[in-house]
Amino acid sequence: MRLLKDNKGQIRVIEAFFASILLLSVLTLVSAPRNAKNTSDQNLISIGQNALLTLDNNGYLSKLIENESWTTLRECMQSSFPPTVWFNLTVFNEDSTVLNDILISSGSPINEKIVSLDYVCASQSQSYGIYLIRLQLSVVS
Amino acid sequence: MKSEHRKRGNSGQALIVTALIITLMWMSTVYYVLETEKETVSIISTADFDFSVTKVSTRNTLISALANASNGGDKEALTTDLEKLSSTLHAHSYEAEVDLSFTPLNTTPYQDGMWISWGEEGSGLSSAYVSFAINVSGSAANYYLAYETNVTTALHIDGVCADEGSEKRVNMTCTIYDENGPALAKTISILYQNQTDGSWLSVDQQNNLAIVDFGNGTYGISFLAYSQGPIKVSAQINDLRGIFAMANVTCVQA
Repeated sequence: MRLLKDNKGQIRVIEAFFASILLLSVLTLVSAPRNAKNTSDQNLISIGQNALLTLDNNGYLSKLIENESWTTLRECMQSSFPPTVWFNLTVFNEDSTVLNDILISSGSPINEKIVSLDYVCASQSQSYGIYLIRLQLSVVS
Repeated sequence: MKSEHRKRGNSGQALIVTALIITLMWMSTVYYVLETEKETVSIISTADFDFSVTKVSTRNTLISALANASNGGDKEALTTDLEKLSSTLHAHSYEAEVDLSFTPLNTTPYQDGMWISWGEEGSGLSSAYVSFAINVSGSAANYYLAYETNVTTALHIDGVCADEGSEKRVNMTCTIYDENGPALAKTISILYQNQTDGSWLSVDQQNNLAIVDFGNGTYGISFLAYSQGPIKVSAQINDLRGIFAMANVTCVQA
C-alpha cells in the first residue's frame, strides 16, 4: 500500500525527464540550422578561393592590384570561373578604402542568392602592402 | 484543508525545478561531449581547415621583406610586416578566430630570420627563414598548424679569362637558385676589377657583353676587359621576385 503511494513521485520524475528531453530537442532544432552549411555555397566559396590562390601563389594578384590593372584582373577572374558563375570583386587597402575605381564584375547578378568571401592578399614587392579582397559569387539559376 | 491544497499546488513548482535540473544535467553532458569531440578533431585532422591562404600570405611577406633587405632596406621589416599580417588576419577572420604567431630563425648563420652572405669565392646568398604557428578557434572545431617557410635566392659564378690582343676575353657561368631549385633572373649586372682593390667597372655593350640564357637558371656571360693582371668579376642579380644577391670571383687564366 505504501509502495503504491510512493509511485506518484516516480511518475513525476519520469514526467520531468520527458519534459527535459522535450526542452533539449527544441534547443537542438533551434541551434541546428546555424551550424548547417549549404554544400553548394561551400563549393562556390572553394572555387572562388582557389581562383584567388592560383593568382596569388606567384605574387601576380598583388602586382595587378599595385599596377591598378583592374581590367586584367577582371579577365583573369573571368577565365577562372565557369560561365554560369557570376562574380563581383572589390579590393580594399588596409584602411578599408576601396581601391578599384572600375567594376570588377561579370555583369549583373541573376540569382538573388550571393555568397561572399574575404581574402587577405600580401604583396611580394619591396613596398609591402596588405590588401583585402571581397569576392561575391553566385550561380546563374 | 487549506494547507493541504497549498501542499498539492507546490508539487507543480517542484516538477518544474526538477525538469530544469535534469535539463541542466543533460546540457552539461552534451556540452562536455561536444568539447571533447572538438579537441579530438584538432589533434587528428588539420585538413578540414584551409591553411593555404595563410601559407601563401606568409610566404609573400617573407619574399617582400627579403627583397627589401637585400636591396639595402631595413632588415627589421620582416618582423614589422609579419606583425602587420598577423593582426590583419586576426581582424578579418569572421567565422573563426585566426591567430598567427611567428619566430624568425636565430640559429647561426641566420640572424633575426635573415642570412645575407655575398661571398668572394663565387657564391652569394640571400635567405629568410621563419617558423609559423596558426591557431584557428572555430565554433565547431579548433585547428592548429605549425610550419616553416624558407625563401632563398642564391647564385654561383665561375669564370676564365684569355688574352685577346691588348684585352682579355672573360667567359663566365652564372647559376641562380631559389629554395625550390634553379631560378631565372630579372636583371643581371656584371662588374670587373682590373687591379687588386681598384675601382669596380661596370660591364656594358662597349665591352662586347653577351649574355646567353639557357633557360634553366644558368647564364653564359662573355665580355672584354681592359686589364693585364688577374681579373676579379662580380655578378649582381635580381631574381623574378626582386630578391637581390651577388657574388665575386677571381677569373682563372686560361
